Amino acid sequence: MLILGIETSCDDTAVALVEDGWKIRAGARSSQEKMHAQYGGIVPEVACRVHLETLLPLLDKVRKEAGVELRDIDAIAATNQPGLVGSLYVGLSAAKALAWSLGKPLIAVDHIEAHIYAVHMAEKDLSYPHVSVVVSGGHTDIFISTGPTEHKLITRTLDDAAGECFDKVAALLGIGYPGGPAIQMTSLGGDRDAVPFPRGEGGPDGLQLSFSGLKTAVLNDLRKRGFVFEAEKNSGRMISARAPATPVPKSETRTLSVRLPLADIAASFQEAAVDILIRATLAATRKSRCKSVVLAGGVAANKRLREKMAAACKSQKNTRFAAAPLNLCTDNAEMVAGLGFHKLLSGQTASMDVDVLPNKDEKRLVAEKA
Amino acid sequence: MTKLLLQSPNPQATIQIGRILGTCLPRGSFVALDGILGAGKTQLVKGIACGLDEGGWAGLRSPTFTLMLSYHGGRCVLHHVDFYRLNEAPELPGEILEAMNSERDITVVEWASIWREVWPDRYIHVSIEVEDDDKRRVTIEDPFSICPEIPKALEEFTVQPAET
Repeated sequence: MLILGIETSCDDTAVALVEDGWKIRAGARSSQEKMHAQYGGIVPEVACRVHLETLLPLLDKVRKEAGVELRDIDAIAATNQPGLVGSLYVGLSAAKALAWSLGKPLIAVDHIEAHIYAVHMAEKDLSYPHVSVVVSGGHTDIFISTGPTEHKLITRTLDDAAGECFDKVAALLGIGYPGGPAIQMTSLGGDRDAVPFPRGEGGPDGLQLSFSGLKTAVLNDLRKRGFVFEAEKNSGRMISARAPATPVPKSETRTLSVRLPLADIAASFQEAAVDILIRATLAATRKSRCKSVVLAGGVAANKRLREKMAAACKSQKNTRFAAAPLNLCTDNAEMVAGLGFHKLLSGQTASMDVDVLPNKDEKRLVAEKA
Repeated sequence: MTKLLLQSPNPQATIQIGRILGTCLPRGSFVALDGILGAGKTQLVKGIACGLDEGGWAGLRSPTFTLMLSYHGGRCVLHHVDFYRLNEAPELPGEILEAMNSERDITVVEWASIWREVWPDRYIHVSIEVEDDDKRRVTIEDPFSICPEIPKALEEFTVQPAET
């Protein structure tokens, strides 16, 4: 069974052809990172337009690479939640048009479920149930997964998503966007223990996740080094550290008017963020008695996080640790096509009036409350 | 009341200030919120959410990535918007503009001054400044007397009484 996957939930346009849920025939991704970097973040209207311009040429490229015709495709899967409204519409509408004109089933895929599924594409012997840690710019959620589309939320960030925290700290340090790769690169050679950034509280069951305290701690550290902050209105980066007009006391080993120990700060910050994630992951593993942990989403590409979480899992009852392969961490269509296959098998196809659900989580929260 | 100066000794107090605002803000209020990264903007909104619906809202998270998150469970709908990523965008997404001008819902926008031009005519402006690690100075301006109860309700945090 050959499934076409389309992913446009945020700023990446991606198309892929995947056979039987795991065999990648062809896949392509066009990142808008560079375009949005100048804004220090994603600009929704720009993202929409670029999706529109990129999607069809990308589809053509992937189809040619796989050496198939459109009629060879068995079903079309597209992300319909969660994400940016306009961006989601571009991908879902294209999928609907293709499904309708080809007379093939349409499958609506949940972006988060697809991220978790990406790990299964690489490790086929991975069995359910397992703890799933989804960390990205918009999400920091931990689930207990009992099937490809069955995930029970165990905990999630109380405030900022992990990836968002990386982005914002990178902005504070002035080292660029996106923050994940920027922090990882800057942290090379830095001392992880240089600044004892707080890890916050895990709460009574260790499941509490929060990143805003860490972000504030970085801000406070920079302020102590004498940096002042100013929001720059309508400029590329909204916030920037500026060396103070008066010299820094000599007691500071590295004076900041000369240089900020960026590597140390980045490494210390990264270590704290990683520790916060690991604490909650291990707590979820203990609570659920799951024997494996799955790490997915853009932040799962962070080398230190993979390394340290693997070791932490191993030392906790030899828990199996599986992270999404690096090429399937960031948003991609392979995972959408892969999960689409399973949804097709279990009859979870969508009708033509299926809509996008940009922030379905919030709707779900409300539903639970009522 | 046009201007009120408050002191928040810690993040819990910032939430409390928000909670009090949440209990007295009338429907249709638009709150423009400013303050640098880590100042506690989201904490304040968390408080506003609690003020609208005591006990609920533990799920309020940063809207930076999704631009707007809406919460429907309370006394009225709360739209939590973040302009952080919207810098220099060609235009404001329609649903955000709609929320900001709603007569029924309360809308709070973080990093509001990035895009001053799109504010509705009547607004409350709250800005949070960092004094030290925990301490924050919160300035509330209500030039259109949208919520006259504010000075009395926030008396315990006031360092400088309201100017009129």
